[in-house]
Amino acid sequence: MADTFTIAGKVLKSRLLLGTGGLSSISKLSEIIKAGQIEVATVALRRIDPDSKESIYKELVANKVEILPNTAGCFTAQEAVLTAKMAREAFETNWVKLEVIGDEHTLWPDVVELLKACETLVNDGINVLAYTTDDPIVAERLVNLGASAVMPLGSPIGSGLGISHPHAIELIVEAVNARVPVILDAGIGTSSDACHAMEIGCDAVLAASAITRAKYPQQMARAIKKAVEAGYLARKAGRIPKNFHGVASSPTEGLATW
Amino acid sequence: MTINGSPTELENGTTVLAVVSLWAVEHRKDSSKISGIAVARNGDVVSKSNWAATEIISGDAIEILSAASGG
Repeated sequence: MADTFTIAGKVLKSRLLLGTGGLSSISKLSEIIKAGQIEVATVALRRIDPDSKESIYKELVANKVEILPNTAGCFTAQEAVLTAKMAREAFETNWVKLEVIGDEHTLWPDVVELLKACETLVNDGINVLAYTTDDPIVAERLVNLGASAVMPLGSPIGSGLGISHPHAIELIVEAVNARVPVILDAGIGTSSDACHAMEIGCDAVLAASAITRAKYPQQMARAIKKAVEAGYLARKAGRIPKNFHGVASSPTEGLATW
Repeated sequence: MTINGSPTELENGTTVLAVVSLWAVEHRKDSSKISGIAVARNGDVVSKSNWAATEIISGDAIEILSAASGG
């Protein structure tokens, strides 16, 4: 792994991406961005509020953050494709975090619709960062369709349950990581979850609620940033294998007899 | 016609640019600096370069979207 990673030709240093969902106030954004050294942040696309005095778009532009529009709230490929095209127009970006949700309670991705939307958008020249399940076969399909990154969930959006199926995430890393980045998205609850994602080979982590809904978002952004770095360094350092029994680290040779 | 789901009375021939300016200008003041906004007319994206030339007609459904906090 290089110290930087690349999404659709853009070289990034920070392996922590910010989801702005759950933010209590746009005025907090700047300090979170600085604390987490954020280079990429997501936004949703919603009907304009003519009375709003604040603009999250302008705040992100002022902080020189790459805007990653999402398709949150879309339940069909058709809705997601139109939303992605609207986002391209609004933010003059070719990137989209493609999410097609199957169910309001679990917020689990509908991978059938996701694959359809991914194919359409890639053919239209959009760089698709696909929010997906922890299914390695679906990840492989997305990459074969031309996705620029796969973003498997650790657990349901906003649940803070961490990584439910780390082995599946490792299988995704093994299957696609040579071709596109793997970004763990959804389910991060605290710093150890982010560290875990990096230890098992993810290129980056996206955290939203874990930061924005923390008691002190700025401090949590700093904590998760450090955890991402720790996990990345540990992955590069190469962990020891797990052993069922204890393995003595002190030599048995030269042991005194009493 | 509707704008963001609200029934709205507009003269035939009102352009998309005029409507966006009306909706967005209140907190931006200068319509030439409108950014971060996309418009769809009856489910099709209207490119910014076509806002001035696109006239809204009776029955049109216009959506004007901008960025919001979202994961």
